[in-house]
Amino acid sequence: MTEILCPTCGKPNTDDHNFCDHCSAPLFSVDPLPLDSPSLRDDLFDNNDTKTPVQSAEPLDEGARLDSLLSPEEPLEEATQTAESTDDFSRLDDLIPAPDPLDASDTRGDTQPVEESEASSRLDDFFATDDPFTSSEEEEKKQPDPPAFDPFLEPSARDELLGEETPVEKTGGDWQYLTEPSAEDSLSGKTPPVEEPADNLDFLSSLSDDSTPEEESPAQKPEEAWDSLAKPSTEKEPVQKEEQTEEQVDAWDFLSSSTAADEPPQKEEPEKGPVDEWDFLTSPSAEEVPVLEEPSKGPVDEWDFLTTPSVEEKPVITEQPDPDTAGGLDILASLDGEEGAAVIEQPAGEPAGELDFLTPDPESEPGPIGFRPDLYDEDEDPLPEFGSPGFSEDSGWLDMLQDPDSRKSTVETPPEPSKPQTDWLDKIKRLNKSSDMVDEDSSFPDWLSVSDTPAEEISEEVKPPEYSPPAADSDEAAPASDLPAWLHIDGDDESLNAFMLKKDRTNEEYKPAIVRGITDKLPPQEEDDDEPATGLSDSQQIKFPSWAEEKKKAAEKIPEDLEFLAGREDGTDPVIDPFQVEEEEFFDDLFSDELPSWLTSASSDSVFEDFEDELSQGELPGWVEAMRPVVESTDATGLSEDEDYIENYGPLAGIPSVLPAEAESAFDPEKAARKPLDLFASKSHQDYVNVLKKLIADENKTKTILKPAPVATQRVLRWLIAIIMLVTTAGTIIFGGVVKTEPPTSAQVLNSGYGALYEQIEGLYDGQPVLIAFDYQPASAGELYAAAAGVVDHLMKQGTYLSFISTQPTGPALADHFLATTQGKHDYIHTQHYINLGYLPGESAGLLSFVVAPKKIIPLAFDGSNAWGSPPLLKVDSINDFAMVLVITDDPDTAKIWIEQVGTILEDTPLNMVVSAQAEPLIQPYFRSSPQLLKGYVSGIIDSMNYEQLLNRPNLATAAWLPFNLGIIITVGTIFIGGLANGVLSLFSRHRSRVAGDVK
Amino acid sequence: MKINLKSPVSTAVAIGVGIIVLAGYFIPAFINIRIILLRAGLVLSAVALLVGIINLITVHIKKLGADSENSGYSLILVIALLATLIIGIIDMVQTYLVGKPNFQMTSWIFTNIQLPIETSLLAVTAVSLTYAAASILRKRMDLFSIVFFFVVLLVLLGSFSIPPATLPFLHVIHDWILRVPALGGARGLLLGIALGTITTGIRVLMGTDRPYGE
Repeated sequence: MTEILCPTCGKPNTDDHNFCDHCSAPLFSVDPLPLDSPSLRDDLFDNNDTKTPVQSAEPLDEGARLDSLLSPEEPLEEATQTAESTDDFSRLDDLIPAPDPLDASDTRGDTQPVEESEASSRLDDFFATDDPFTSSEEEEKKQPDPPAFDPFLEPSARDELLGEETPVEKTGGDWQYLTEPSAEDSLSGKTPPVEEPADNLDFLSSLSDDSTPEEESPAQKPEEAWDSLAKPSTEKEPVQKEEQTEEQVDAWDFLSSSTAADEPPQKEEPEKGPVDEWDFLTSPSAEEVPVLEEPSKGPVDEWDFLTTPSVEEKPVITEQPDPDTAGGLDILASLDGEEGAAVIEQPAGEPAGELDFLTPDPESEPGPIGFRPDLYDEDEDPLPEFGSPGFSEDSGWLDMLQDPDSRKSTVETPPEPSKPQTDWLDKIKRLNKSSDMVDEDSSFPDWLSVSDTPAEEISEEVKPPEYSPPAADSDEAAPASDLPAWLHIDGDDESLNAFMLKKDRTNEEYKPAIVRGITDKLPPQEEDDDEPATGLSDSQQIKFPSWAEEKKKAAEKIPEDLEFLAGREDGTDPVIDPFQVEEEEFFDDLFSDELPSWLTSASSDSVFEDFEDELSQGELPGWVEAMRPVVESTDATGLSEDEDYIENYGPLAGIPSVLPAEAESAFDPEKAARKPLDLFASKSHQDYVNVLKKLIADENKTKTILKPAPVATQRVLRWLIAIIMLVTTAGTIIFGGVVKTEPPTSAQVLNSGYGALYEQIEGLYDGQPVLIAFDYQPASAGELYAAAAGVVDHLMKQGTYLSFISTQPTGPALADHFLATTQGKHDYIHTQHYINLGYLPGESAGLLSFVVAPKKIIPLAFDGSNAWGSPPLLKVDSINDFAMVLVITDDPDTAKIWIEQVGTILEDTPLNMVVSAQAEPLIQPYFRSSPQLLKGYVSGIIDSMNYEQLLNRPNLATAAWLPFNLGIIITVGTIFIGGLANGVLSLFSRHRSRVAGDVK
Repeated sequence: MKINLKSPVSTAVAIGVGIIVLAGYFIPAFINIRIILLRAGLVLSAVALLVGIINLITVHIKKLGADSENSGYSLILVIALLATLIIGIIDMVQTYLVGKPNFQMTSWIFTNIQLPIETSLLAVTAVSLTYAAASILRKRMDLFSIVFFFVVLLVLLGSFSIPPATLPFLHVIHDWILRVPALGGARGLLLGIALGTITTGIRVLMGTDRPYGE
């Protein structure tokens, strides 16, 4: 098995492969089929069932396989028919390598050559002429053109590599129909039939129709691009004839455009390799020779027909189409045999629009397959010029489909950093970052071009419909671009800045002075040319940025960020590049987290730079600030009913109907704003501050604990007082006598308590029971003994029976002692004359119980004898049976309890008391009230003295009267003297402390 | 067994008894119940006195064991208490056995120990009060202190009644002070006490105040 060298990479491949194992390039060139090969088109798209794939028992080669796809049977028939007649599809023979006579006979059988011939003839129709509507005469004229450039392999290289190949292999075998009609075919009179303009794909249907000769119309200007495909190469005809029996992978040559430059290599077609058939795909150019001298191409080179030359290559292309960078369908232009120099030239000044391919160059090569120039109206329906340089130039978008690697090798780009054109997104970002590095890549359509390519450069045919803004709103000078008016940034950046400044200025008076000082540094407010809305006062008018208003200002300077929207006016040639962005910053803003620059540029950086050194402004972003309405006037009278309050400070400044931050009643924002921040501290405040500071400072100081001065003076004074009193009273008692006093007057007796008691006791008679309660503490025994002695003596004098009771535990003992010490002269016998009932517990409750049922509460006497059977209590059943109740107490509470518990129940039995002088104020109200709960009382020694004078029976009170008075004198003297002395000393000490405090 | 006085039972008993006794004053049917409850209260108060005495003994006995500064005083107290208790029991037994009261030892203790001591303490109080009145102006020199000082002097001088040295106007002042400001103050004080007593009683009846335990 022979080896086939790949025309692209040059690596060997087995002959049974159609494509290179290394670079996947077709190993065999295929001559372009005539465009106007109806037979071929018919074959492809005819639904005739007869056109079924070839079903041969023997395996088919590559050419036969193609045949089988199109029309299996007919190729067999057509092959025989076309074998005799000259067929434009003889070019396809180039595609189909010339089968090895030995192999062909072994593998394919006798029918294969027939098939091959049919296939070749079919494809020859397709590739007969570039213009299917051209006449055969024109085709004949073009036939001498050199074959199409083989994109897969240089002719010279092909010849070298494939020189030993059999004709069968070289011719392509079954792929002959795909081969470009060679000159031989043209000479044989094979011309593609002239058919009506049909679908571009109709060329494929012509593969099956080999009966009708295809006329090849001469390539005309609009159809040159297509002619390369349809035009058969007359030069190849004789070759195809020889290759009819040879089927190789050269069938791919149909994709290569045949050009005049291909003539030399086409002459050598018999010796061509399998790649020769693809020559029709290559665009004819005068530079084919140097192109052919190029080293082996990359694997993508074969697809160069899909590439579109860059804009920069235009000058080159305009002269001679670069076969490597030729337009995707330059191969079609080469079919007519014209030189590649006849390339469509872009109209001067027109950019390579993306739709230039729709506008074929009349001077270019033949048009596409199926293209009828006579029926084609360029003005109405501009067709792309596939074979024209212009088409190739404007079809840069197709470059995107190309492998960047191949593109780099094939495209003669200026020495610039290569950019991954397929990654349009990255490209945009890169372009945004460095606008200087923007490369006007022709691969980008104009609408994405970054350069200042004016729209005028865009060809009229491909120019998109222009946007016409409403005339009513276009008060300002509309930009030259067709952008809508709302996209026009008519210098609103400055207006936006002005708006921001203005808004700050309106709120200035509501800001503290510290901030106000900053705002004073703001540049002067620019006057707004916009007229206020009618019907609204200044206070109600809310200013919005000018860009949001209907009326726009005059066109101002367009920021650089948005110039791309307004279009270029500098006259540069824009490039329609969908993947190039004019302004890098714009896209940077889109893909960044921050706000775009054209939004944040409203706040002038220069204005706020001054704030850095002083108070920092709020952190609200600029676009939020821009949204804040501006209240020009602080007067809220013009507000509507709903808007009674407008916030003037803070983030919500300018917004009406906002709840105030502080209570209106408690906080007046106007006053607070105007209120100075200086604190006024009075002298007292300063003193407090000083004290506080001193306290804080003294905490860290160590304090020495001074020993307290012994309190000697106080003890001495007390002893002195005690000694004086003791000596006086003792001496008076020992050495003194009885001092006679004047008896009280009747007036004094009538209104006194001792007088009433005296009267009551005076009315008692012998044998009446009297209840005496000894409810005092032993400590008060000295005073109460003196006070009660006269009264009890009067009772005993009256002959009454006495019953002693006590609510104190010590009461019964005190009763016995009292009786024994003071009333000894009366010889009262217990249980005879008096009874001692003992202790009554429960205080108030006990008294209440005793009052209710005395016999039940105290059934026995203090000594256990029967009390209620004794004469003192013989007639007593209840408390009311007593003739008198006398309570001797020193505690006012006890007196109160007796009065409350017993006095309220007693009916006719008087309740009398002998109290201490300290309890007299609290029992006097009961004596002085009405009804009298207390009938009489004797308070202290004084009343007892008077009582005894009334009774005229001196007793203890009379005996203690002199010491008592001396004690009073001494006490008064002590109090008076001591009080005065202490008072004076205290005054002096305060004065000293004040003086000392002032000094400190 | 620990009795929780906070239990609602004690509260219910206190409230119920109080309401019944109070109702006995107004409703004749509750008089007998009231008397019974009052007698029970008398017994409980006597028992409470005995419990107090026992508690006093235990506390001071505990102080005897612990190292405290006042353990001697606790010893004297306990000895005195026990001695008095024992002597009293003896006198009661002799009285019961003899048939006539014979509390001589108890009387002697009372008459010669308790009574003089307490009387002396009250006499010392007089000296202390005299000194306090004399030094009141030194501790607090204000209007009320001065008024108090002079009122004390006037009352004392009005109490002095030695005919040669008696000043009639002092008796008038003395009487006026006792009958007007003192009496008025006393009345107000008694009214406040009465109201407080009523409020306390209501609080006890309502269960708000629980003086019987926490």
